[in-house]
Amino acid sequence: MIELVSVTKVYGEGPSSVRALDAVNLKLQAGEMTAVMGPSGSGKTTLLNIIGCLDSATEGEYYLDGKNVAGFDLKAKAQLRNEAFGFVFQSFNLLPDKTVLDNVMLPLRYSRVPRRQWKQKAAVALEKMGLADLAQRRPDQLSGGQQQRVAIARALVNDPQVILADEPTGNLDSSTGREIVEVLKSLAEERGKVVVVVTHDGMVASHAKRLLQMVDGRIIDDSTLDSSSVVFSHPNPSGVIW
Amino acid sequence: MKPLYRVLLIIGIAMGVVATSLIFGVGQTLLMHVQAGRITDQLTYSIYQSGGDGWVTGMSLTLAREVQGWLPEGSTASVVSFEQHDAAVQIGPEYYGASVVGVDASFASVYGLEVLEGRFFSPEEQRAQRRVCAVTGDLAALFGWEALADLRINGIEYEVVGAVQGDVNPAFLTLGGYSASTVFVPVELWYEDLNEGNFEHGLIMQLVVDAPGWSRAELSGLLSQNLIHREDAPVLKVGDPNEQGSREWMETLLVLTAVFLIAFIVFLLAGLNIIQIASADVWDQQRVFGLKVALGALPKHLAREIIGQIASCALQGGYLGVVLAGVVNTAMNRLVGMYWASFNIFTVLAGIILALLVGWITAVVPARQAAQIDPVAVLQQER
Repeated sequence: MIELVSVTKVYGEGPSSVRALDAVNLKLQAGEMTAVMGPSGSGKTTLLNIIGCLDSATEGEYYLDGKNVAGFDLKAKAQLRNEAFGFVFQSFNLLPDKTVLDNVMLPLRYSRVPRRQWKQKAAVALEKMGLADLAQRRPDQLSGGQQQRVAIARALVNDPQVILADEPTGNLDSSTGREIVEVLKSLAEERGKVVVVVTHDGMVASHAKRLLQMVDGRIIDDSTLDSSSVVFSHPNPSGVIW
Repeated sequence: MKPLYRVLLIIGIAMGVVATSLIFGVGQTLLMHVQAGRITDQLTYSIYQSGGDGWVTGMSLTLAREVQGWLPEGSTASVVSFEQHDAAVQIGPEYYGASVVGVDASFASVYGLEVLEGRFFSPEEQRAQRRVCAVTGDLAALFGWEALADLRINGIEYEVVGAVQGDVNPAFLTLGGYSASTVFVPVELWYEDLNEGNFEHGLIMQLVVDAPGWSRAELSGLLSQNLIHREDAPVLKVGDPNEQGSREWMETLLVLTAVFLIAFIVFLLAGLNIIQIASADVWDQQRVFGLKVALGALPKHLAREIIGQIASCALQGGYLGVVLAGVVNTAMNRLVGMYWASFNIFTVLAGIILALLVGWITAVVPARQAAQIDPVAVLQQER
């Protein structure tokens, strides 16, 4: 479904340039939750941004459902971000002056979905996250876990094929973080989404079906995990013990 | 948008509308001045009695007639009494609040007034003390000729022989002017029917004189020669309406220039204020815009949102500005002699449209800034 072929991302020019991704090859399949781990600066978020069309590769090919995304223009990429991808961020990124319902409706404002369906679609997404009762609250009236669920509802409102989560549990306590990971896992396993989670947290990674280990812009390890796998958190640069 | 930014933006736009209305007001005044300048192409002088310190005291009709006798051959003159507003002017069965002015038969020609219908009363009629009069055009238009056949002043019947131009711009007259709703009657009858018939009463405001080939200084010299032997010589002055108007106009022009400059600076500051506040808002909301880009917003979506927000403020600022402009322009109309600004539904609409236009134009800069936001960079700032 997603295929990166020798994708390289270089920031800056000349001797001070930084190679954030170095000839990365990767295939991601539907129904698969993939965790990406690695030390800070290893290129995890850059990889996520390129997959999510927030950033462009300097070199290489990026195929989504067989189409080369690298050649897409600004509008087409914006449409992809809106319809094909759902983003979940570490700090939730909810609009504080809007209600939960308005926050979930936000991607619909930029979509081709008719306005009359916005509320209904947002309400369904909130229902699935168990937040129907909180639709009229503002984000600061919710707990961290609830806010992240709202963010996931917002990511799902356009029914995207791919969910990209960048440190989704980074601002949550461990039990709430576990709940969020369970939600993400169910999206992959029950609803057939491609879920990519960038994390430093071994607990999060151990719920994934697949674990990518990155160092210096390269994927140094690509493993399939089973239910008994235990992933330890960094700073061990060699990554994973199970 | 933050409430503080919103309030500042509304105030900024309101200031802009007020400043613009003042700039338009100055423009209107200049335009009126240029247009009015075309009306009076005839040089008339005004002889009036000065009470010192710029005050004007009325001449008696006897003195006015005496002065008329001193005027050079070939000149034409007319006395002009004060405007009498308390006379009971009855047209048909109705009383109407018109003023009554006593003049000579030559008044219309000396003043350069256009005769719209009929004629002005003649010297013969004046000499014969016939109760005839001329009215300003608005009265003729308002009541019609048939009704004007029955015109009474303080219950005394007058025959209306014609209608003359009413809107005489006061800026070009030495002393006062006639805008509308005036009845001109022979001055002797004006004294008799309205002022107890005593010609010694100082009720003559001025003697308007058309003296071809004579300068103001020459006329002044002529008056001095005739007054020098009198023990109780009145202080008579010769005014040149155009000169007088020019002097007053120069004073007004100074005020207008100052108003224009202040208004222009306020306008610029208001514009900059709007751009800065909108830009500050974009800066403050970088992450919000970054998030929206990440969620699929295109630059046009962000521009539309920013323009929508500013337009909403512009509308409110426009309303506020129109109200303030009404107050400021009314004050200016009263305080600055020749300042003229009309305030009507078109002015209100123009103010609101202008505010929206300014809002739309100034929204372009912040909208561009928002479009250039890199979502990756701003969303990473949370780390």
